[in-house]
Amino acid sequence: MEASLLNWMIFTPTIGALLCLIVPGKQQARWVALISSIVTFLFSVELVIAYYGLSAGGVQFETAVPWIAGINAFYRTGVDGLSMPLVLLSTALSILIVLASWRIEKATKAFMALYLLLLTGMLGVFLSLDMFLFYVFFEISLLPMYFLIGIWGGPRKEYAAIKFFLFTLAGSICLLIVMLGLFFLTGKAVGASGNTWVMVSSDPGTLTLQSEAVRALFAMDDGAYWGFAQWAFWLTLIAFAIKLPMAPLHTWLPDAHVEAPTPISMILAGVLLKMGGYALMRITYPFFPDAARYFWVAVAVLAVFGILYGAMCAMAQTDWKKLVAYSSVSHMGYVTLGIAVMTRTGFDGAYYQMIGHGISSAMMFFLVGVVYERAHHRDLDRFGGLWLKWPGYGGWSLIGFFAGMGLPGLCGFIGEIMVLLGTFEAAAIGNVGATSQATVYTLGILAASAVVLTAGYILWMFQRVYMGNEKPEYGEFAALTGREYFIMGTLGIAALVFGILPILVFNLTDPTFTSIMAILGIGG
Amino acid sequence: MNLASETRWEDLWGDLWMVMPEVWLVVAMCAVVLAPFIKRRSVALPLGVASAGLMLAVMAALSSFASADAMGTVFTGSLVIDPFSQFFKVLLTLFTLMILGLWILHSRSQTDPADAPDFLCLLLGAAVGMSLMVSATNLLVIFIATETASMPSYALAGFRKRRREGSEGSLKYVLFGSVSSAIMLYGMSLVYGAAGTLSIYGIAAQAAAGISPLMAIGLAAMLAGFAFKLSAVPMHFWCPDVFQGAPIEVTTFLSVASKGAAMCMLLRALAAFAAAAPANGYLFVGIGVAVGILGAVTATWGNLVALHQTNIKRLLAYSSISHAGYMLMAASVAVIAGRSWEGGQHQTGAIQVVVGAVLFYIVVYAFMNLGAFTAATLLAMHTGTEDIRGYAGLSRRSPWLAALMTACLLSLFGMPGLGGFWGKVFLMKSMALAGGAGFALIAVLLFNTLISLYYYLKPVYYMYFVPDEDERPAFLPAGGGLAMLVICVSVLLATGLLPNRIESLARGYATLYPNPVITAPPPLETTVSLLESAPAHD
Repeated sequence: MEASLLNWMIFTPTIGALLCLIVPGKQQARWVALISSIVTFLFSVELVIAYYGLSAGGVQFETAVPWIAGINAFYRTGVDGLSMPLVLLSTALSILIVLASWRIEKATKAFMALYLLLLTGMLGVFLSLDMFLFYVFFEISLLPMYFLIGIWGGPRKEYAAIKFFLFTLAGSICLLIVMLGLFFLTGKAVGASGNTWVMVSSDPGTLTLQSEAVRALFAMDDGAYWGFAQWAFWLTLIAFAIKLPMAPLHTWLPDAHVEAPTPISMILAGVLLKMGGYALMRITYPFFPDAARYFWVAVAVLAVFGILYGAMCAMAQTDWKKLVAYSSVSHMGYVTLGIAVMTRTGFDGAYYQMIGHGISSAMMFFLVGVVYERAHHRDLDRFGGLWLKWPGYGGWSLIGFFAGMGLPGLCGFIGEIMVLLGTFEAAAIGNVGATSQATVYTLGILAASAVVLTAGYILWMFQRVYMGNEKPEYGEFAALTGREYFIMGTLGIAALVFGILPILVFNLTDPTFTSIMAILGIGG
Repeated sequence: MNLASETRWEDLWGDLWMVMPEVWLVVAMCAVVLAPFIKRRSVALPLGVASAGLMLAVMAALSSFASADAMGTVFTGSLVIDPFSQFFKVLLTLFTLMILGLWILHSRSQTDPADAPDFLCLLLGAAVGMSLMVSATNLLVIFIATETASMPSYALAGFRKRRREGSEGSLKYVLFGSVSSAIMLYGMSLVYGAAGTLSIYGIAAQAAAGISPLMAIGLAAMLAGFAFKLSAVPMHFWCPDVFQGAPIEVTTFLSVASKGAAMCMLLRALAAFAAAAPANGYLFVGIGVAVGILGAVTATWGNLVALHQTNIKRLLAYSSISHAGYMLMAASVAVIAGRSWEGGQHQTGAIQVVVGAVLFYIVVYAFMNLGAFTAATLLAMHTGTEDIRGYAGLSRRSPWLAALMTACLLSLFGMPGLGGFWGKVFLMKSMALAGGAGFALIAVLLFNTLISLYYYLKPVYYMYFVPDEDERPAFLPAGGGLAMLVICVSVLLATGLLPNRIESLARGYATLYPNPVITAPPPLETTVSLLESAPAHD
């Protein structure tokens, strides 16, 4: 029952997309998009209720249908603790994003159809258990994004769209190389029947890439596997680091965000970036734990560099939206760091950072969009005194930006602090090999110091935009609508709730993370 | 196979039944030329005759699957009829029918009715040559088939007589074609001198005993001839000019049918070599590596040059060069994996996997190229330009056409969900059979895919992102063209979502006639004398 529910959930947006193209008018297309995203959300709620009733950490509600016999590819979907919260985040955000795009007048039908198609792609990425299916959804989610940025974007939209596409595609190709390598290596190890794309499965008889069985077979030929694992680790890391994005592969992100329309920035920051972090936890680390442990310093250094570099870039911006975009680079650096140090606390923190950032970044982009729609510019130096104009908006902004900043009690805090704790923990329990404790402490201190930078750019921005005297041109601004208050309010409340009750997420993820830790060879 | 056996009239008569597809094409070809004597200046009559001939050829090719007797060698072993060849002939004749449709759509109104039979006759003639190419196992027949396919193509390329570009392209085609034919013929003479036989199986058996420098040079020269038909680098210079100058239906025909036939001919030769591979034949691997490098260079060069194109036909021409490169890269694996570097084991299944993957690719490639060219035709008819900058704002003026063309271009690039993606996946799967060399090929293929994205998105960029400054009116393309486009995209979607059926079909038909057992190659003198005495039997 739930398995078919899950598959319906993936393809409900597709059906909605087709309907959007058929309906006669713009208004109908908006309603179709809204209803299909609400239905998708209800499906996911149903799913999470069913999931809560189960205590096991493995994959639930699995569907496995042979798809392409020639390469042993399956249509295999299912959900576990790693994907469940992200699925819920995507479906919940998707409703708010449809509402945020309510006022899009240019080719509304096409916009909604592409947006719903994107939703199918994202859900497919989170829910597919077969690597080939994962890849297909990973690629399918690119194309709608390309059009959504390229058609509805700002002045340099074409450049931003093609840059986004080429960067991500380069990553996909790195991933494809590793996928093929894994496929043929498993075949070589077990015989032709052993060729597998299955990442993880609830069926004990299935040969999965995360299972000990495959690893033991690789271990038979240590040298060859080790050579492959080193390459494969870096290739998949690059593939997902581009998506995440991790400095120095982040350069597409500020362009894409600045040019994309507000709702698309929301989905990009809120969900699409999380595909990178999710895939690191699903593929890169569990498949190649030895390589991950061997190279952990390099990855962690890159992550800390990203945190600091993103924060400093954000501080230097005069474009409001670009500031938020660079803050994403900085915040996603915590995700990489939490994963790179390979401690349980780090992993939990990295995951929570993704959820928290999904809420806070979507909210920040929306807050910027609301003003941009009225002022038609985003120059920080030309704002001031917005609080006096709209006290209610100011209040919600406070929650949104402070959640991004990582204020205790809001959703951004828990992820950051756990990542930092996990980093120091790595030194204590020596998970990360013989590297000197000094390295670990240095990295931890540097990452922690970025919190100051973050507070700096957020507070300075807040001062420039919200404080001071009201500007005369604000008189022409249209009043905020109930729709806008609803979006801000929902995200703000979510930021509060997830800042206070992290258990909501950890209850879902705990058993699965325990099994991933076992694969990584980490206690905890 | 045995030339020495008594060749009788009855045998030849029986053999004729096995080549009925070609026979019907030849009959239709003659009938088309005679049609004006029945009704002057009629287009419908020769068109009907040509379509009927093609349909009969399709049925004849299909009926050969009905019984095992219909497969085997004919005409004293110079042609082979096997599932592989018949599958391609079905594909070829169906594709030629679709080319007729494209011709009606695009050129019929611009063509003088008196020229229609000429065009159809040339088209059918080229089809005869191509279907002979896939069956040829004898060097002379290979040469004759290639020329039969090429000669009409030269004339077809320049069929728009008043267009300068057409004449220029045609002349370039003729000059290039004759030079490469000469090189190929020279290579064949060297190979014959070295091997003492004209049969590719005999040559393969001789080469298994040792490849002399003479034979190596001869084989390389023959490869140049194949490369010309495939428009592989460095024999590709004719391709963009011919594609640009020729009417668009001819361009489509050449880009798919001609390349497909050359590819199949090459595959048959490579498979014959692979099957005869000796235990320690490192020179054999050399043949495969040479083809693989040719393919890698072709793909990369085609893609790099395509980046700068602004004419849609030139862009698609370079794209087709790179696709030929992809197929060549996979074809090389038949030999490399046949004599695998790992463990010295002969991978008997490798040839079938490779041939199946390439056949699947040809099927998908046929539809995506046909779709892309049809869309380009419809646009050229409407906007009067082949410059992709003229596509600005098309998504507003004709959303369906823009969407369908985008689907074809994305399939050419290899977007998951469309057939082109699986084409590439199966090519990669077969490449992986060749071990380390195979992974190098896969890396080249993926690198090329990344480059190609940029230029496949260029028309998409103009159609969707650039507003139309001239405010040209909205339009709906003619029903026929749109229908053809819809069929192509449906096939691409069907193969993209459920590639199973077509892939197993292609793999099933990838059965090549096995190499005949050759105990001892006959000495040179005997063979020559037998050849001289052969006409006496006719």
